[in-house]
Amino acid sequence: MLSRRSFGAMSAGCVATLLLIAGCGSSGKQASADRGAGQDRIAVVVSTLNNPWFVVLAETARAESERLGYKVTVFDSQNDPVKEASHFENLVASGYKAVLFNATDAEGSVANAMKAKAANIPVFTMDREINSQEAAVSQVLSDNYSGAVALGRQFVATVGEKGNFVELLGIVTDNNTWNRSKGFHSVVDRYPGLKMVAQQSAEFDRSKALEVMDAILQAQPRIDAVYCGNDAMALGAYQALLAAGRADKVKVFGFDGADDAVKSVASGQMAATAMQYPKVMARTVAEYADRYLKGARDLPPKVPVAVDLVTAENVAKFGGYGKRPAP
Amino acid sequence: MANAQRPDVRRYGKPLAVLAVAVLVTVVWPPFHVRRIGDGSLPKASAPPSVAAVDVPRFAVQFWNEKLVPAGDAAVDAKLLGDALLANADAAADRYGRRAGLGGDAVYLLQATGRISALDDRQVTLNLDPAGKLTLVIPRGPIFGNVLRDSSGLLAASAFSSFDFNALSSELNIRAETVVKDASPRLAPGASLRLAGGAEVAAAGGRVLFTLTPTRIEPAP
Repeated sequence: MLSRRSFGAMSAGCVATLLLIAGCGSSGKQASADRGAGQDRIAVVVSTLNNPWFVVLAETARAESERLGYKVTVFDSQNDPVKEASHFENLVASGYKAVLFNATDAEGSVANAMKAKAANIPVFTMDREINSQEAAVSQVLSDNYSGAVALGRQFVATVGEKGNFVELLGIVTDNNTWNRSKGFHSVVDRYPGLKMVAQQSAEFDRSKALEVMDAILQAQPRIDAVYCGNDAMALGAYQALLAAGRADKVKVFGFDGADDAVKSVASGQMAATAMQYPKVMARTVAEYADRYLKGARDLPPKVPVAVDLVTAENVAKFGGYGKRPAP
Repeated sequence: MANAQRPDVRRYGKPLAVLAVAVLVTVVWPPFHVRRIGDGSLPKASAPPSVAAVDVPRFAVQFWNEKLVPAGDAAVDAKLLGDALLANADAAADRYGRRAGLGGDAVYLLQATGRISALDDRQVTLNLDPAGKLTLVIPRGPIFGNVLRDSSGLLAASAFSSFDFNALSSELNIRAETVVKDASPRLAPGASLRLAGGAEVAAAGGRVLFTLTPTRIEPAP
């Protein structure tokens, strides 16, 4: 007869041994094969769900992948590269078939994508570029530079060739931040009368933009316009201007085409934004992942997606994170 | 003997069942994986970016001289393109136009011959046909955007980092501005010009307006 203590020790030993056997015996590939009996799984790793634009991106990727027959898990990195790395550890260990990836950091996220690639899990980036031509099968990205050039031209047309302006940058480790800034500056820097009196990062965040803009307003008595690297920051900047009683004197420009921003352009609170197409990007990467998993190897490595200028003149054409259907 | 075993079965049966379930769960969903260190399956934590840096100004000069200008000289004629656009804009865009990626308006590499109908500090306007259906304008101020870069179809976004790909546009635009500046002494109403470059197009109401970023402006013979 076994004593209670010896039975407990034996059980613990068995469990430990089995855990070890299971761990040693399962490569990522085998783990996924083990689960292949059911639905294949796709991971959607998104930089943040604390911004409606990214919720639309993630949910469209989820819906399209599910439509194509996959089971989908959405991982929220909360703009934290450490959380993102942890998600990749988990998804590599859990046998996902593909990753639809919206990165937190153009450089830092390369290692995560490479980790997935090493485990034979293809990565498809959406909206945010990673600085590698090897890590992702395809990168489907807004043509931020062109959108920012269009906004820059609209800025000059609206503000004029003279004036003081502020620029709020996004996350400084993200390529979108700099493509939007460089595109805008490729235009406004050609007009010596346009002076940038402050340039600060508000990390694509509405609350931070409110704080940053509030501080800038206290230091700068004359501002004619604010160019923001996304709509969340533009709406935060507008709140700060409203609180300071200067909203009617300062033109606000955003980027994204978020629903709130499109409504603000329609109401005259914002001067313009640029419509990105998150649904187009998300559907495209889901479709590419499906084609890749079915054997296609001719997918384009990088696909720019056109961005459209949204102004008071054409705002009726836009809404719902894209173009409205023609009546 | 049999009676002596029953208390053990009662005592250990439930824990053994739990253990069996745990074993099954562990085998089907292993909680971790053990890999040999250095087996090459894991990348180094700081994998360097693999996008090769390009000397953009130098590349732009080479691309301009060796590829873009010759391609412009051999491109579709604006009159042919204009008629095609008026007949069927979508078909003309598919046949003659190029887009850098998904969506957006097509841009066109073209050549044209026309007579200056008007000019001011901001732009030069040319009529391309006697009926006045086809008009072409050349901006005289700063040139912005990606028309030159994207209209030839000779450059792929995948071959560059996005920063370099965009910087290339700026370099090409600066060269186009120089073309306009150098041609300025010859620009006068009534002058005939031969042109080539990348163009955006607006077609409506039986008329076509080309906005050209030029690679060449010279007197027409």
